[in-house]
Amino acid sequence: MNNLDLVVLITTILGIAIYGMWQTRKRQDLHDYLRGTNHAPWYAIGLSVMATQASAITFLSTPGQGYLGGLSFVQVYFGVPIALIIIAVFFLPIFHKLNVYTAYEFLEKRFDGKTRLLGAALFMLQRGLGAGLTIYAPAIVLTTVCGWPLNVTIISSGLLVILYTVMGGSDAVTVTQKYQIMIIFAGMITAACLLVGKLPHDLDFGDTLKLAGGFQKLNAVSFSPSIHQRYTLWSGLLGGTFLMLSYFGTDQSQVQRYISGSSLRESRLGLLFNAICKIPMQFCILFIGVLMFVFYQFNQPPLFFDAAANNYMQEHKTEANFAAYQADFSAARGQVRQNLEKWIAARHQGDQAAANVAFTAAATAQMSSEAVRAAAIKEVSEKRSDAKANDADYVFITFILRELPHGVIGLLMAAFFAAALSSKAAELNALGTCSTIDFYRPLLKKDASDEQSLFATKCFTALWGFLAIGFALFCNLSENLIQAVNILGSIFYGVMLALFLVGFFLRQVGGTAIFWSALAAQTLVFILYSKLTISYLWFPLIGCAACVIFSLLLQLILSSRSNLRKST
Amino acid sequence: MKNTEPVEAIDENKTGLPWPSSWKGAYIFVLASFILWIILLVALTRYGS
Repeated sequence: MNNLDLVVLITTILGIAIYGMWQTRKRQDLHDYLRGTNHAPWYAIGLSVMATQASAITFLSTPGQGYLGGLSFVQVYFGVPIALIIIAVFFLPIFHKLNVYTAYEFLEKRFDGKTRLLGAALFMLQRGLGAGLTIYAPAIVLTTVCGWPLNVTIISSGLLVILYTVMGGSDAVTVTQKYQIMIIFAGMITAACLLVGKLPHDLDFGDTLKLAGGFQKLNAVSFSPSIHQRYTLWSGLLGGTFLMLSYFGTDQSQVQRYISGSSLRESRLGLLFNAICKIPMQFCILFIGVLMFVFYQFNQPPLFFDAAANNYMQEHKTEANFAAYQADFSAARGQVRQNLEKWIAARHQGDQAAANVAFTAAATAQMSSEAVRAAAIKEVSEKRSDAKANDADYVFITFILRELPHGVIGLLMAAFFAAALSSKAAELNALGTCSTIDFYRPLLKKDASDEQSLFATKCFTALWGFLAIGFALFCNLSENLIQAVNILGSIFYGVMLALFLVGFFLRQVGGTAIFWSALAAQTLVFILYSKLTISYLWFPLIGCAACVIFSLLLQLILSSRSNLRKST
Repeated sequence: MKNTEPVEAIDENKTGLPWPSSWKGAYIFVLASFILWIILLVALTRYGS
């Protein structure tokens, strides 16, 4: 990064934050602070919902997923359209009718106070942990890019988001998200255009698809019935629907976004906008990863993309093993490139037999290079614990830094930062609101005035921000970042969803039955998560089904006991 | 503390868009575009394999 990049990055990020603070400087009313001034049109709601879900991890790690695993990750989002339609039809009218600040207020109205507290506690537990991850991801990027100390990056980005979220509340989040998502789109579209321009000129679109497909990178849909395979059509449709239904329907960071619409209609349209756009958006981000894969078939990729592993390799490049790995890897990559150039020439001449021979040779060389990489990764991992060679998170940033011009690098850094701040702000806003509305007012200070509640919300928002910074400082992940966030959500979301589904649809179940059933189901999910190796997408479904079944059984027992007492 | 603003007087049964104007139409449109995406992704998978 040079000075131009730094100017682009700092101007963009600070400019949006200052604009958000200035626009919302007069928010001194509790309702306006928590729900906004209710003037947001549907497209602002839609962009806000989109920006809340799409964190820096989405834009940083997803292209890496596309590079390494192809398009299969898109199946996670197959549940989004179905889930958002269900929320628009059933959840949203109830939230609007009850005029709630948090989704968990509904649980008290339908069941009792303890069930509301349980729902809010589950949200705060998982979102509080997840909040650390969303601040950790861009910090890794900037640490890699600028060589800044990781802790300084985490603290400075954390403090900025705390500042404007605490000052402006819900409207500050919505106002800044609108501009942050524009920067994100501008950055990603620019990167994609430049990437296409860097592909070999004799490679047409059909060749690109054939090449990517030949290396199994276009595997967008899998019909495999195996529950151990992480991403399939079935896990996406069933598990993904439950995961997304839980996330959009019961996670306060999302609920707070769409209930801030000026009317039920605007909120609904905002959700449907996401229902249509989410899959194409994720597909495009993954496809950037696939295009990077094609690009690196004709250009020498690094042995590792992971910064820590790469640094370790650079420090020890004189060692015999690493020098041999690098030489073998370069030789294999050279063969891949040569054979693919022969393949393109044969394809364009219509010589299918020669094309097949060349592609087979390229695939064999590709397998050799991957074997060398695997051996090198194993050796680095054994020698150094912090160099795990988790490449997916570093593929895109490596490409940006090596291949894109200055200015664009700054724009993309600003896009990552904007994505991190937008989701982080929504999380902090939701956590602060939930802490005040669901805990402070009902438990700590029942007669709190609006001024006291407003002050408490600001304090809680700041407190959650500092906790997230603390968590990020001690974060050390073995999972790919985007998967870590989804896994964390999948453990808690099933039970949270069940609380609402039972509340909406099973009138016979009371507060005591659902409360104990939710605790039992959450315990079951914890146990199953530690014992089973199935895809994490199934856990929301399991947690939800277990909670619903337990609540029905427990209600049956409680009702029969009650009847017995009455009869005696 | 609760919002005392009157509930909006606009017709909530309509989307307010030129097309689709009804919510049922909007849901069908979302589902149709979803199915179309699945078909395109399956076709892409088949093309690549």
